[in-house]
Amino acid sequence: MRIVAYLAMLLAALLTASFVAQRTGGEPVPSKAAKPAEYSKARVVLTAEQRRQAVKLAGFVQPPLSLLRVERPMKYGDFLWNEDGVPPGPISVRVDLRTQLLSVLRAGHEIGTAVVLYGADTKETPIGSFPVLWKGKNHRSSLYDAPMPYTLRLTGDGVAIHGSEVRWGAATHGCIGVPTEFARHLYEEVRLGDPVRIVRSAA
Amino acid sequence: MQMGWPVLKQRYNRRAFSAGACLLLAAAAGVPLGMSTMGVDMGGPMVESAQRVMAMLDARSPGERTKAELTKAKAARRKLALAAAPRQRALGKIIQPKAAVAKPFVDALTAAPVAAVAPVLSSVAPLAQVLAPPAASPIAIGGLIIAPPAGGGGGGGGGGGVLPGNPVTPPNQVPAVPEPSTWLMMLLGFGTVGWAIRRRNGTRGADLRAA
Repeated sequence: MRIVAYLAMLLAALLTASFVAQRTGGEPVPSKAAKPAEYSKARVVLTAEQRRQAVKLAGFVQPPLSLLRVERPMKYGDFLWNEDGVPPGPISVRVDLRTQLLSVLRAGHEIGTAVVLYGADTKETPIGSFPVLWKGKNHRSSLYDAPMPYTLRLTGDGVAIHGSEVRWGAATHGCIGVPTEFARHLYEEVRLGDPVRIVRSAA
Repeated sequence: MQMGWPVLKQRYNRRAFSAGACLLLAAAAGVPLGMSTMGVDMGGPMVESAQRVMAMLDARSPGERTKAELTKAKAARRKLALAAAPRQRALGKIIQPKAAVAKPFVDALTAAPVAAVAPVLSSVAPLAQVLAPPAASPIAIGGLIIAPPAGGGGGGGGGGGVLPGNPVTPPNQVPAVPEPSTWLMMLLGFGTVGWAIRRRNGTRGADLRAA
């Protein structure tokens, strides 16, 4: 029992020491202490169960380790890009037509998300997995005679992810329209052959 | 612990109490520390770990689409095409006969007997036969109205619009596009002229070719 008491004292001493260190050391040590805190402010680390859900229900290509923390519902034209602390790795893109959202994952961590436009009811966006076939920075559609900056072509008949003016009430001819600034980030990140999965999730 | 607590109290009251007090103090002091770091590190994810991924994604969504108007991508091109389109056409004015005049006239014409007028245009009649469409519609050639021959009767033609019974003067309409017969005659004329020129130059051309 005496040992228990000593151990308790030791524990107490350690705790107080760490508390004092935290209080007095104004500048946080950059490497170990600060980063995880920063990290979790920007993103939500998923549990194993959530990862399983993400693949099974939400249709993510790779199980996401973390998602970006989005404080409020995004509006049309909104996007978020944050790759701080995310290591290089395989890229995958998930597009959900129901929620009108796109997510880019790198090495399992979400690095970008945006509100998208998709095909009108008469010109539906195909659902499925598509590798990026072709990239075009200053592409101009010959079919629609419209500028399509930062095009990532997904199908042979012209369905692509490209920059466009994302606003309420608009729809595309089958493409996925993202804010042009977001499209630029996406264009830089995605390589040919990277998988893009378009889903319509259950409500 | 609860079972052991009275025992501990009895046996090691002094030391255990001091240790316990130390522990409690330290814990109390560490509470803000623990809260502050864990609130950021763990608090968020702990709360959200209860959430389903779909709910998290739904929370950031602007919602389902309520209106989907096709982006009019071709607007620029359409505008350009409109600007480039001709404002006027180079054809002459087409004078349409008044319906009130034309209808009884056509009725009278189709009801006209074969033995109408002396076939002044007997030379034109075969042409009319050739050009007559299968339907019984009259053909107008340069202001003259030629009815298609009915049955095996003598190729009839009402000339000059003089018809028995109900004489109606046809409106003097000059069509903008020449009639087929006019075209035929013109082509024939040019053909003849060409043939004549060719014949006249034939020898000269041969000489040139030989030279």
